[in-house]
Amino acid sequence: MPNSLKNSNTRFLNLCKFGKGAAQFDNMEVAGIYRTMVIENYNKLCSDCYPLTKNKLGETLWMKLIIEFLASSISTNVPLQEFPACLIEFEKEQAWGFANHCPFLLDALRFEWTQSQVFHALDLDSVVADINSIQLDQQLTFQGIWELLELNYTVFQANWVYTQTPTYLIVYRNEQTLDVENWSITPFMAHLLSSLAQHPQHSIKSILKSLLQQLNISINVEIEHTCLGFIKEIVQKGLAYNTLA
Amino acid sequence: MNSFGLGLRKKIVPELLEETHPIIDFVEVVPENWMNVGGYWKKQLDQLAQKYRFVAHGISLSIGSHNALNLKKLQRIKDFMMRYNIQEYSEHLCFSEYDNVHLFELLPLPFTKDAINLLVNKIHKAQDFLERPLILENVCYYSSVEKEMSEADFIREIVQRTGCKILLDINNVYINANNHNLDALELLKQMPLEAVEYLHVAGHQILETGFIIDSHKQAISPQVFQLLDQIYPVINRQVPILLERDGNFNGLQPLVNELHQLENLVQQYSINA
Repeated sequence: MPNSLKNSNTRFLNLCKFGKGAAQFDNMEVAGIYRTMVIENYNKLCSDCYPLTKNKLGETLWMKLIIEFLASSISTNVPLQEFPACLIEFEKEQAWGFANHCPFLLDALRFEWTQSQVFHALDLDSVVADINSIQLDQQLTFQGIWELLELNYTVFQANWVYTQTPTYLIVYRNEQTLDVENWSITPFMAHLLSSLAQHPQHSIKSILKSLLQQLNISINVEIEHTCLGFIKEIVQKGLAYNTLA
Repeated sequence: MNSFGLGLRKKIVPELLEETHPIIDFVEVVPENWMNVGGYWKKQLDQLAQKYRFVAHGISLSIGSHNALNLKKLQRIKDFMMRYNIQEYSEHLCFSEYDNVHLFELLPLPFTKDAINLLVNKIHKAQDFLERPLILENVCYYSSVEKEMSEADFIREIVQRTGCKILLDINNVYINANNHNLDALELLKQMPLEAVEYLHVAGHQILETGFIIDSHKQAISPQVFQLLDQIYPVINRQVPILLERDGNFNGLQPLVNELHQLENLVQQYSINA
């Protein structure tokens, strides 16, 4: 029996992943225990990461999702902590949420996964900046643990509704409490943030001007004041620090 | 002095940090749950490391998979062990991954010669990479597995050919004996006891049919205590004992009580040793 290990591995894979081939085992009922355990493991790992999504879907639909995810061709051979992200890959590939009348699913999974990632992310050294020293002609260097999310459903609130224009959310770790916090920002500030991240060598003001030009808006004191307030809040939250341009 | 340990689970971390129970000599950490983690849990683990000795107990190496050994995974484990000054690394004699699929379950292996050949090759590679012997745990098998030999002979040959150590799970032996109408004590006696590095004990769930599942959600059963009482003098040396618990937590104290029960049980033999 030169391939007994591979044959055995394959038998268990077919049983656990697809519920097939129980008759090849000496006791079909007992063999079913393995599949139940694997489904329960997938369920637990995903439930721990996505409690809001699970609650919103309800037990029946959630378990349908888990079982179809298990049977899919999505690679799950990843480090244990990255496993829940495989469910997002499944949703991206299958659009399971649309097919099952829960179009918010991708946003919900992305939101909860981001929260989990930010909570568990490796610690980083950070620079403490003086927010009173911040000027728009300076550069901004990002730091800290945070992600900018673009969402079409308000999955970060109690009531999940579709919004015509996307909502932008900064999910960040408060390094004092080590808790994850959400900060909803305007689309313009989200674009400013993305541009600043893309062009760290440019001053805040030059990026701001460039963005405003695209919108045919001239920079004025009020806009500068609003942007400076936003940048100060970013720095205060420990997500960036200012440097001389 | 014998030593006693507890499987680290997040639910008991606050009490492990706040309370002092001298009976807990070491804590068994699942690296996969703690590797590459920062923030709150990293802080907790660092504090625990100040207070307890760690041993590592992996759950996803899948040494019994036909796939090649995952050296990236082993590197992460090696890094984790180095960071927390961990000397012992145990894993399961099972498989849990198949190509690009991870099943996150400890699935049994066939007790066959060609399985041994493949395992021996992978164990050697893992040991060379980690620069220490693997400590491999016997697992439960609910349906019968393909066998050319007994489980004990299967494990013995692996031990003889690789120099690996054994993490003997008394509960798993009891469950296999019950579910397959075998004599648990005989099964234990046939194991390569000279290679046992430490012991696992845990609770199990008995189904209405009498079939037993390795749930780790109950207290240790009287039958497992009895089995430990019978095999400990046969091992005839002091080996550490670790209590595993994965669910139905009711605080740390009941687990500490179980550790004291274990201590009382083996103390009689320690005195005579």
